[in-house]
Amino acid sequence: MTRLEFMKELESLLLDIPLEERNEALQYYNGYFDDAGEEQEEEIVKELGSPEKVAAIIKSDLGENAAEREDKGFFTEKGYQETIGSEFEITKTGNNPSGQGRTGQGGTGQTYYNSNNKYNDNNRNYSGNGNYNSSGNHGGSSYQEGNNYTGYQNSSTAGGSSYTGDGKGKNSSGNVLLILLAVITSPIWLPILLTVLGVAIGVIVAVVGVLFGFGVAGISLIGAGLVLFVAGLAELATPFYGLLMLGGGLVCVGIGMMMTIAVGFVCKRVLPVLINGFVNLCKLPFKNRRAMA
Amino acid sequence: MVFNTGSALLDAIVLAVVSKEPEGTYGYKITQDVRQAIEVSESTLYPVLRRLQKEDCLEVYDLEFGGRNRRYYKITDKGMAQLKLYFQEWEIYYRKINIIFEGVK
Repeated sequence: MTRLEFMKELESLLLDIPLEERNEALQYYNGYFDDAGEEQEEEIVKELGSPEKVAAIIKSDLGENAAEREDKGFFTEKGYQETIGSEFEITKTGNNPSGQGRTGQGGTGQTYYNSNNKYNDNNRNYSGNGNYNSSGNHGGSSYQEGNNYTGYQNSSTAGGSSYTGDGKGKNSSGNVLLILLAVITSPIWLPILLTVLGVAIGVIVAVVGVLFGFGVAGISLIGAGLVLFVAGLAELATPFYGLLMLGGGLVCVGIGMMMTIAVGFVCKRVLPVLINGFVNLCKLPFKNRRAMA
Repeated sequence: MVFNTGSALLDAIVLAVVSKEPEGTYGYKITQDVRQAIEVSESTLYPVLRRLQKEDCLEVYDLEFGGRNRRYYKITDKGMAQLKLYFQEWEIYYRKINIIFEGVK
């Protein structure tokens, strides 16, 4: 295609835009060819791609002009999404050779649509990674208001987030029902629960009391035995009483030691098991609920 | 180039390129200058220039050159302000990116 053919076709493709815009564009490209020089003509025609593509770019920018200006702000919150959208604009043009045909098609759509098509085109042209492409597509085609970015996000996280959302919803509604049920049936289970709790506390207090008693008894026995033993030493002048007291003291110390050791063992080994069991018993209702939910 | 250039960045680059010529510059030269930094096709810049012109960031005038009228683009005060804004944002942006890239080499 020569420069002349190119310009002629471009002109005919731009017939549906305002005269002023058409003349501007044609003047620009004519000037461009002039400045590039004759020897560059062929290359420029080649690089510009098809007139359809050039026309589509011109039109798309015209069409989105009004809308785009609002979304333009690069670095505002909205700006980022805008950047994503327009990234493609540039990508597309950077990748002429593969994209010509498609952009041509895009050009025949409505003006605003054009811009979307353009983006789509782009995404496809940009052969880097498929992921990016498809998400970009998403944003471009379905989020006209320029929410490309949100579209993009949605598409990438849709699966995960909806899942957790669902679960949470069930959870909360289930909880409400459970609480309601609990309140309604409280006359039945409250006394039972209180009884069980009372018994459990009683048992614990009893066990602790017995253990404490045994412990104190053991220690007192040891003390008494030691006193007896010392007294026996003093009474050794009369061997019978003295030896009896020594022996009785030693027996007392022995029994006391056995008792304290037994209490210690119970405290160390048996109590934790009991307490654990009790705690688990208390936790049971909650665990159950969790399992149900 | 593997990185895409956002339209705002492209605007900024074009404004910067044009601002370097106090007397104004023309489409073909702008394209060549921009292409020193980023890969853009020849068809990319016309809409950008046109839009910047409509936004009063650029003004145009025709000057005779080699027996024909050549269209020159010149940056306006508004364009200059916009460019400065872009530049500030760019500095913040590339610094942040550089910090993230620190240690890569």
